[in-house]
Amino acid sequence: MDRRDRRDRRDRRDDEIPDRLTLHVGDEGRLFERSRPRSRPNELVVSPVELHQRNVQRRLREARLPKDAFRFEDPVGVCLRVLESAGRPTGAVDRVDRLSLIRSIFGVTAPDDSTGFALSTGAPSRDPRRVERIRTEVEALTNFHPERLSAWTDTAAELDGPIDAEADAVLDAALGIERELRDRTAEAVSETALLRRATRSITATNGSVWREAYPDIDRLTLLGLSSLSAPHTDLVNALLTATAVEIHVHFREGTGEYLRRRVPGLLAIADPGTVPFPSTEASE
Amino acid sequence: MTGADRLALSRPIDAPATTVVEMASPTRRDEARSAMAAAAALRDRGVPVRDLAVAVRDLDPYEEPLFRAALQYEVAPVFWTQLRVTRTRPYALVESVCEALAGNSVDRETLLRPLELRWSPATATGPDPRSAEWPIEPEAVHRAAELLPDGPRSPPEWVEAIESADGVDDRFRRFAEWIAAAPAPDPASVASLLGEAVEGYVDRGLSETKAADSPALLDTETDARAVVRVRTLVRQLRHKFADRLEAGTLERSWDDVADLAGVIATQRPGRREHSNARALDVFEANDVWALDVPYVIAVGLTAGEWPRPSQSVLPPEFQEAVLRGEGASGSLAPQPAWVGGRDRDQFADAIRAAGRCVVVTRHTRTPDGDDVARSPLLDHVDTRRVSEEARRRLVGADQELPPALREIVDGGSGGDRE
Repeated sequence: MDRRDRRDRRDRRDDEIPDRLTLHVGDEGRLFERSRPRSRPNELVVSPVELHQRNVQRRLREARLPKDAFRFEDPVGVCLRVLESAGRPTGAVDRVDRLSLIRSIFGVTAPDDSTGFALSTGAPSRDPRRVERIRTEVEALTNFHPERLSAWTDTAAELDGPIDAEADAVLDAALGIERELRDRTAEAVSETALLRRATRSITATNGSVWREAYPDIDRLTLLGLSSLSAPHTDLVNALLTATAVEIHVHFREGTGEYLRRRVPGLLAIADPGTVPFPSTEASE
Repeated sequence: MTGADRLALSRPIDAPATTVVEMASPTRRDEARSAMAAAAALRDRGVPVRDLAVAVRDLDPYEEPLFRAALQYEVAPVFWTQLRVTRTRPYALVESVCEALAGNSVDRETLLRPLELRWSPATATGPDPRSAEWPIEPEAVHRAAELLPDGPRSPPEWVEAIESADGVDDRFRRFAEWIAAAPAPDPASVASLLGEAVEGYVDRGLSETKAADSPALLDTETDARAVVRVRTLVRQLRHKFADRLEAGTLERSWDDVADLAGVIATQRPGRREHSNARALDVFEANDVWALDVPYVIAVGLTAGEWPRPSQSVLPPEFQEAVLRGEGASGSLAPQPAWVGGRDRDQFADAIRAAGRCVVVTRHTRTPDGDDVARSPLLDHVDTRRVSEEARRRLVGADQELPPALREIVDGGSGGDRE
């Protein structure tokens, strides 16, 4: 109940940063101050770029600081571990296969280009790479969350024609292709879909899958971000809502001041990880 | 949130007070030479190679010229490149061929997978090298998948099944026969069979990518780079497979060949740190975040390259609304990359990574001789410019360090920050 209250409060106060979330711009030197000998890591250091983890490790090594307190991961790795401990499937289609599936969607069902992926501008919309770019860009902005999908159409509606229709067409194309992909594979459509699955799992189990996966972790530090995508935000949101873990986000110098001010609005979403697609056991 | 916050993305970059030395060269190739000559001259003046790093916004167009220049100045470079071979089509093709060959029987999807990835007979063995029949068009592959029976079969059984299926054309039979005729894997047959698959792709698959590509041919370049790496991989595979058979750690199976290919392809240069600390690190700019080295050579500070135009599929007006984040759009995740935010971050972090000095390089004209402007990101820092004369002395036989750099090297005792 207590946790539910927290979220409701956040919904009311749009400009509020939750207690257990701290936002930094740069300042990753703080991490080094927390380096100490430990028998087990208590801090999960998460960065989407693999080399960023190596850079941090290199600096620890050069400063002769112990790495014992830290466990390094990327966001997908974290989610895989959560899903494994929850006994949930972890298979996902990779990009090469996804492009091939997209090609098959057009090859089999849209010989006359009639399935609604046509856009008013740009390169041929049946180019699988362009279609995949549309899908991933919409996913990065919305995580396919119903509230954000409405926010998208509301935002588009404020714009002059034909831009409004064009923005809506991008959204429809992305949702259409995501749906088709889900129909065509028993695995998750992408690694980002695994992120959503882990996000839902954390919320649905009130954090117990997280505690099982990371019993010793009390702090998660997210590093080196040039944007905060909706899928990453929603994972953070679920952790803040359902677990006791402290979260520190370090943005980068060129964009951090801007991004930190956008965080409250991005977190004002209920039931992170929800998607508007019919659930099938294999893909959920 | 107010729209004014949006301006935070164009505010001056709060760069640390590191000396920035700017060097302009006529062409990209000259620029690569200037960058490597600077690295070599710093090294020759006593700066340890591990105290140097090269940061390039996008390695694709620079890897080859930087590599050549490094050879010229006797620098051993390590490219921390982001091209993940395992995610490229030529690699996926090689892997899928191994899988189609693995075991006694394979299912329909596994059999057809190489064809989805544009398997074509190698020109040398094809009846008509210019045949337009290959690769098989995706629609035909998917139709075949629907017409062929489900369930695992041996390669000879697949040849039969294809022959008796209505509407599955002869090209499928030809492919299945190629699979059925494959010998058991040994080092020579692995190299020849997979080599054939790669060359078939070079002859016919690559042109499909080119046909579908944008005018800048970026995908074609990536595909071509991947082909080069996969060719090398097949060569390595032959030797490593021989070694491992001899050591008894592998079986003569195509499954094990596929696994070994995966191991080779995913070996990243990262494990090099202990074994070869004397090589010069060349990074993409995004990867230098949190790095701390005395000298950073930042390459490609040319307008249009760094910052690079956004590749977003969204209308600019919609992007702007999301960036402002007023009202409903406040819950949509904005992408600062739309307005060069990533480039700002990478530029700021390349500068922050340097403890003593940053050398920024740029070129001033395209291969066609058109002028290209200086990166607007350089307006955020005060730079000391190297004259064209001094640059020529650097890249020339004497490899003379420009005065601005000489002062810095001679001015301090160690490479530590502060």
